[in-house]
Amino acid sequence: MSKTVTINPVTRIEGHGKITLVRDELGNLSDVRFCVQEFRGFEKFCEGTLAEALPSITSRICGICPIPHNLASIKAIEECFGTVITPTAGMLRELLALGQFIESHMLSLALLSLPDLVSRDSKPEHRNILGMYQANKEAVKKALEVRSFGTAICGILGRSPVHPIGPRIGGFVLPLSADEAKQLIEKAAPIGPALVWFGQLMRTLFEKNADYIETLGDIETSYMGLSKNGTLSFYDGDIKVIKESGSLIANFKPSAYFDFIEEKVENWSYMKFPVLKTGERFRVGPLARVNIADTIPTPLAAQELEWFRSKWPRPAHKTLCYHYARFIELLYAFERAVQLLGTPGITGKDIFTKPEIKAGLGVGVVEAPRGTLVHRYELDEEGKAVKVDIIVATQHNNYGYNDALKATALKIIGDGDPDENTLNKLEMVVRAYDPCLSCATHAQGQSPWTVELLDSSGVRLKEWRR
Amino acid sequence: MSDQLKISTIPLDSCCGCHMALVNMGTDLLDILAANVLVFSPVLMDKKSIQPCTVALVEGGVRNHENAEKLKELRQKADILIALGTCASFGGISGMGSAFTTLELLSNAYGADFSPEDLPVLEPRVTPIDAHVAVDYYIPGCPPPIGLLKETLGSLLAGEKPRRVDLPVCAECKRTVKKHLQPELKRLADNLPEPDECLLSQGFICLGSVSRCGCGAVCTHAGVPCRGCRGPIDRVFIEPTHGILHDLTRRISHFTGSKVSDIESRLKDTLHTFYRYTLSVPEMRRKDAEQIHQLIWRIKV
Repeated sequence: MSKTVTINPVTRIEGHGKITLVRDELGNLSDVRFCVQEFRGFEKFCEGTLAEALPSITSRICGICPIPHNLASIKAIEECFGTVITPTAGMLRELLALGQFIESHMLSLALLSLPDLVSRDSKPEHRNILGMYQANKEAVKKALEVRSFGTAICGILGRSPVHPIGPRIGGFVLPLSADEAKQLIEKAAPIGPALVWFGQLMRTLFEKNADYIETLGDIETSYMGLSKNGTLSFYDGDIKVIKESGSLIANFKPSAYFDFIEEKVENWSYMKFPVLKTGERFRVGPLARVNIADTIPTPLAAQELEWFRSKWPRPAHKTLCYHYARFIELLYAFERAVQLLGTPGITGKDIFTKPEIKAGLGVGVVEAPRGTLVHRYELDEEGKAVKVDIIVATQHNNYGYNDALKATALKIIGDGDPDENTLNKLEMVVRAYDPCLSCATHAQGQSPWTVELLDSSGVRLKEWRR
Repeated sequence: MSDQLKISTIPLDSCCGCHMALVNMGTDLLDILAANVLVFSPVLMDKKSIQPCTVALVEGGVRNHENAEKLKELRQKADILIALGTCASFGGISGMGSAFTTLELLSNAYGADFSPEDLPVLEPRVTPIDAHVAVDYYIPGCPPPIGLLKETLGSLLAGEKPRRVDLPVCAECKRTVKKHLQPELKRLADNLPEPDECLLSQGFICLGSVSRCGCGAVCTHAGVPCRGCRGPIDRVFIEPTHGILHDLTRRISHFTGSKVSDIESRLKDTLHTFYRYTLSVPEMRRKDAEQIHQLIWRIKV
């Protein structure tokens, strides 16, 4: 019982985390916890920051989804200042957000998660992007080509690699030039066919791994996300929450977020647990958004949604379905980006509204690739931050991870020591959410991935570290 | 193949953005990794323990004891250790956490009676990695510019010494300087800069003249003042009588005819404007020419 096996770090996720398995007096598995361990302290050290610096500083919370942080931050400040941006600036922000979705979703699918489904029986050392690259160079090249289209949008509109400087309070720093738009349109040409090819791969993988889809992370929850006109929306819209049955629970303006959602604290995790004030637990992210959307207005994504719903009726609950929903969103993001690039107003020069600095409270909400992201600032009359609250997508899924891990562990972990393959299945559940622990640790920082086994009094019986 | 290099990458206290900059190299990165051997990289592969390697790329600074332990283990096992990005080089953005006590940071997030159990213990301050181990090369930047990444990795893989960059961002910036007598300090929050004129001479605080180039001045060209994400140039970094805030206020004084003390009294947010990426650099903290020692939470080092 005292032999120690270590899993440190858990791999192919963005950042580090820890899973604790709890056994009761009889030795039965009674609880499973996903804990986050480190700490960076953004909310505190952002106090005193001038408004114009907040979007640039808070984007550094996360190098994987810096753009949603940047945009949520700007929206919060604009709400406080009462700034209304021009239609062209609005389109550019949506396009930029789509670029980040393409980049981030393809990162999660191809580079981090799909190796589990492609080479399900292979050794750990081959279960990664390089293993896939050596086995099928063409497939990986296609995936990276799709991703590079997102990176190109982020680079051109963000005006700086990874952490953007293009969006600003009041609009954008520079318009999208006709040359730049042309460059992006040309770059988009081979992406459609690559995505269609990728779609075939996704369906094949989901058929081949049907047993995993059914058993890993099998829970039913409510879902929350932004929605506009009954469809997917990443940059703006209302917040909608649906029940596990699919019926509507709530529909409210982003500024009312704190009237509907509260955070619970569990004594075993640094990461707080957002729930509806009625006590309802929910999940966010690709599966939530796809479940909430009545329709998707672009053809390839709509076709894929139809197939998806024929297999997993709305709302789909299986945790690994997050991957398929992610692919549907990837298609939508690509198609919508091409639509926007073809809209004449996108290269308009009217991109700036002069803001008026004033004191107040502002809430900025956008969808990050992993789910709903909220920035709330209280600013003084000089536009300096007095208080900063940030609730990230990974936090919104906190109960989602824990409930799905518990359900999975109860199914697949027996009395004996779990082997590498079994532990990887727990990791697969976590990877499905594409957790961004850089984000989760804007307060908490990063931690190693370990799996712990505790007895009912909290004494550690065993620890697996790799 | 004997000339294959063993490569490791590790994120410490960071946002993973430098790893994203690597991934953004696309198939160039995969070709490098396929031609060599990636032996340890928790973001990309399932190897769980730190391996002996030729080249180790370290992203992030040191915020807790566990960061420091991993860093030391990696240093022992790596022939060449590279500080990848500004957090590893200078402490970076979360280095601003050093302006507060760990208790202030934690209680703001979790309440006053919060008592963490079984978690990595925070160091009193954030530190760059060279406060703990010897560093062979630095590629600062938030994140490092992709061209510079490719160039530096290319040199290292070819067994050559990478090129050193030590000119201010102004060397790459196409804006032209003008003198204005007594202009106001302007804020980006409610102003759009003129397109071609030097941002500092327009009255915006721009750190370009004291910050290391290599970025192509992408920010200033887009009308966004430099915040020094690649850290200070050697002169500002090394010479005791130079400093970020010190040199900039004198330069503004030179452009405007205003007294340095007047300019200093009009600054609204020294911490996040001047020391956004370098608050945790021990060398900078000790300079009389800097105000870091007034901003940082003061304890015995």
